[in-house]
Amino acid sequence: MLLEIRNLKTYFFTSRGIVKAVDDVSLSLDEGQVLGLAGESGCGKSTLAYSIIRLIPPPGLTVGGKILFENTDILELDNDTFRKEYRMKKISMVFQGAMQALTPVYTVGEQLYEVFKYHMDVNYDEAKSLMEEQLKSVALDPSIMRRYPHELSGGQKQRVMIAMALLLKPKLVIADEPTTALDVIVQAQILNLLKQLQSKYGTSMILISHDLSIIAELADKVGIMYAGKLVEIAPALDIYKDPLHPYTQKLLKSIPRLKQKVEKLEFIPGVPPDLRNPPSGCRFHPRCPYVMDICKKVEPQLVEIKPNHYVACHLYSEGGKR
Amino acid sequence: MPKPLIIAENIMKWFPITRGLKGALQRLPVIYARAVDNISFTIYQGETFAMVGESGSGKTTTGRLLLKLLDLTGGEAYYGSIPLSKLSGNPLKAFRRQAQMIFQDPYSSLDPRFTIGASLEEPLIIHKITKSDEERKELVAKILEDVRMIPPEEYTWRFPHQLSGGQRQRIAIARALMLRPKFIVADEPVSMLDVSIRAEILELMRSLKEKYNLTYLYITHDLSTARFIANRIAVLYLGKIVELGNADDVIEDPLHPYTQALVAAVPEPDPELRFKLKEIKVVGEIPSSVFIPPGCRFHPRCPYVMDICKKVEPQLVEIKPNHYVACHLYSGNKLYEEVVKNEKAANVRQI
Amino acid sequence: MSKFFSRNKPLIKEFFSRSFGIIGVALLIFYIAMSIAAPIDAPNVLSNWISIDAWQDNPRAVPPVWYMQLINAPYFPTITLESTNHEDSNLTGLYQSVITITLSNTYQGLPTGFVFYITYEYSSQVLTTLTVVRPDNNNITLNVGNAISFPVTNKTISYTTRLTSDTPQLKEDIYKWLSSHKINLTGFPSSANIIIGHMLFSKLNQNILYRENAEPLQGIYKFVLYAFSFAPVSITDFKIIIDGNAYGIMGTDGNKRDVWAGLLWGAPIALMIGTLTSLFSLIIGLVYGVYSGYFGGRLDEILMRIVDVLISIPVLPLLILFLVYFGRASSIWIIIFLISIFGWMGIARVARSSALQIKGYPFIEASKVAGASNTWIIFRHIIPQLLPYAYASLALGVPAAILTEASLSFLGLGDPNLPTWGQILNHAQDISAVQFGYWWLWIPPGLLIAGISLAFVFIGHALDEVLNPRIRRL
Repeated sequence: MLLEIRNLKTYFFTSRGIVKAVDDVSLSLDEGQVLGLAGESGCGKSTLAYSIIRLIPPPGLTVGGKILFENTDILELDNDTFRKEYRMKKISMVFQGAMQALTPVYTVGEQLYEVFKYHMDVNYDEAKSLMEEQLKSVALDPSIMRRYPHELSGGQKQRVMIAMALLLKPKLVIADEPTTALDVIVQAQILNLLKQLQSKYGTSMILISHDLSIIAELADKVGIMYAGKLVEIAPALDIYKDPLHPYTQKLLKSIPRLKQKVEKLEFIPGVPPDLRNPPSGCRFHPRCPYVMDICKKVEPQLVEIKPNHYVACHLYSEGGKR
Repeated sequence: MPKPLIIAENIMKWFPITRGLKGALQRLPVIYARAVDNISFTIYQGETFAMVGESGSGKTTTGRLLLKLLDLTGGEAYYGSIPLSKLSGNPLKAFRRQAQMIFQDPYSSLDPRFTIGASLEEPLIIHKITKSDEERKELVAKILEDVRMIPPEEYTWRFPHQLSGGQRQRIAIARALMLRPKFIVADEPVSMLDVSIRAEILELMRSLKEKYNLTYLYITHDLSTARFIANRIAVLYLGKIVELGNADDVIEDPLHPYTQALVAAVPEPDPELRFKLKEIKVVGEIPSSVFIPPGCRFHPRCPYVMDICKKVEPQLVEIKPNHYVACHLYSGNKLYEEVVKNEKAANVRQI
Repeated sequence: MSKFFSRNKPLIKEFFSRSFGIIGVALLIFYIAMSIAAPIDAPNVLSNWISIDAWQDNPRAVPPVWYMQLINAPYFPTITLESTNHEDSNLTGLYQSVITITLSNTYQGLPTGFVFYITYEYSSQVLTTLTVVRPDNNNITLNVGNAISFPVTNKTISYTTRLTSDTPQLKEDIYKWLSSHKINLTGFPSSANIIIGHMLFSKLNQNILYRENAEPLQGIYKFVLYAFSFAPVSITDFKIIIDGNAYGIMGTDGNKRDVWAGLLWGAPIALMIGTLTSLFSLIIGLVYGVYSGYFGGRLDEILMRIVDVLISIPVLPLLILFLVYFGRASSIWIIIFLISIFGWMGIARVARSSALQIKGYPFIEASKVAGASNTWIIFRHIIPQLLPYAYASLALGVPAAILTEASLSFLGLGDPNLPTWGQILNHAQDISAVQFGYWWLWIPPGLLIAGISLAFVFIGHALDEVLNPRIRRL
């Protein structure tokens, strides 16, 4: 097991109250596995990612739980050790909005070299061949190193970001909405690239997206988050073919399909809850079509209903309807 | 046969690129970004016409041209029988009551300093439609119910930042409906929203269309939502329509290599796809509209490129009934040759 | 108003969570208190500031009383004694009126002069004397009747006269008094050569001739004023002002003016100059900049080049030129006008760039689609967006205007009719206050100018941080 998260709690201490962005989430990831994390915006999926790479913006703070990476609790490490030994080297991240993630005043080469400078004792010439190789692997011409970010297209920038994330051959890459703001064709190209690189290097990956269609392209295992909680986690096939949680079911049915004519789309009525003051019991109960009395009072726990298929819903507990 | 509501005849929008002082002194020719380059189409009353394309294809510019938010560089667009380029003053104000817009970004299409009620009342005040405050409040409440913001009183005093993205987009739709328009340009109304909320907004748009007898121009980069909501789809590439037809035809039987690539690229929620690569034959990305390739604009990226593509720009012709495409691959088609023959005599005006 | 507070409660709370916001507001409250106190404490000062007569009874350039106490120097404060308590009598056709003022002198210092105001009501010739009863019984009789030229009348009239320690007849009487008490007056050939301001309160010995050497005589003094006439007469009012070597809260200046009154009035004037100038500049700059940015194109180009030209002109020399041209006629309104005219360019630039940014927001386009006119959009959507910036720049513009006015006044180009702090500094410069150690003429106005600038700078920065989302911290 490469990564194991136990009861992680990351809260934002704002002036108007505590936002429990990630509230008691546990999950695990094997080496070479791709985990997709899906949920509506504000459900805490990005915060979870930022907690793993320890880059939560203030006023956010991880207040509880453990993140075991290769059996080391990375939350216990001091900042310098984590920065030097883990970030980029063992765990790296492809950020949302690649368009803005590159500094406009440095060339691509300089920005790639910076990653080496912090973590390895190599000079530019030694690093150059490594960088060229890395750029080729993301299907970019190495001459791109001399160019500035504004000279690149959106897709090229995203490729550079991916190359950068993979530069030090990390064991885990976190991709936070890696294709938002990209056109459909470029999105498909980038997804193909991620697939190829993932199988080539055997890197583990956490893919975060609000779009279950994108997650389907890559993930072996899918976790569904709602209002700071993990409500369902299972192998990809199970999630898509036999979703258990009513939220997951609704989420899947609301996707407009291209290849089949849909007469009426289903949607989830209501709005996601305010995380400063979440509903009692099951956080989904105000929007759930199968709501029962128990849902309003008792918070359901994540339990294994089928092999490797975990769900947090009272429908599946004793006395539940199903 | 439904009546045409919007007719675009060879409409063009070229944006001059600033040359700087040096260019002006050296009297260099003005360079233009050809955002919309000579396209024609008709939108019929009561239909939803989707315009699909990547960023930089000119789809948003087209929408703005049809609302006279931008002035035409060339060609003419008609609303009913009114030529838009001649509109100004009071007739323009009257046209504004007929044609409205839903914007892409629900976070910035409402003035953050206005309450929801004030935002919705603004069009009524501008057009002096209501006589009393009560009447105005009543209209606002009614429209809020229409977009399922119930109870309305709970929302009129809120500010946009107190609402979720989906709620804000519903307010934006309500605002567009305030003046009881006939024609609405919806510019990527769901692309900034979560997938789970998109369905709700699209359903809402569909039901409002029935209720108020609306005609939509639906602008999007997303073929799947276009298929869901639209009757006809036009695919734009670099300021040109490359394919136009009934929504089902365009998606189930795409003719143009670009449309084919778009269709193939759309991700599907199917975990089996995990183990294969998508077949994307198209290479590279859409170039800038300042440097438009000669001949067929798509030829540098086209997997089937031929010699003729680099020289001659293909015309939009009817290959199958009501299914138009602009591609040299189909020049062997009889229908195509017939049109090309006629083409020399007169430009194809209406599609 | 209450709606404003309830709507902006979090912002107000955040404003006051910044220490310099609190300091700024506290300072501002201090200045507002000064402004309120000015018309109560010194009601006539504003119209009389440059009148010589209004201040003639004060000592010239003396320090504040508390200062003399603080440095433990012998002092005599400036005091006013007044009585209307006259005793009239009629002794077989001779009418008499007496008024007595008693003073218990405990001061270690000596006064510098005295002033008597006497009001008589009479209808025929009046004889009048003033007897100063001293604690050492060396009483002085001042033949005040000699010094007064009563208007001749045959019906009852009221007449007020003013006599001072400079009145020749009084000096003559004192000269006689000195010589009758065997004071050696060699070196003082006539009464015109002596200075008598301090003598009433000095010990009668040879040292009395020079104020520096004279020794103060403490004890009970009585000023008994008699008037006689063959027709009814009465002294309706008797006022003695003794000019000390110290005066009030802030001393006096070279023109005998009460510095404290001037400083008090400086506050409302500075606030008015600051806020009006800042407001005018803001309005001009905001409207100019927003129009320029919103309409763009060639108009924008022309308008902004005008701004470039204006902004590159050094403002102070130009203001000096203008004010020299207007000469002493330059009123405060001309100064406010000129500072506003040269102060809006920076605001215009910022307003323009903000307008350029805001006009690209979809809600502007949404308003256009709804049929709004350009004026509607500018005044309903764009300028309200700029208000946070406007509040901050309003606050930050105030000290700039106050400082400019102070500089101009200091250079002698201000409005001389008004007691601005700059004017007080200018006067201090005129009489070389620094060299002579008249610190009360330059330190207090300097501090007040610095303080009011600081108040607005603090408020402006706090507002900027609270209202400006770009520099706002979570």
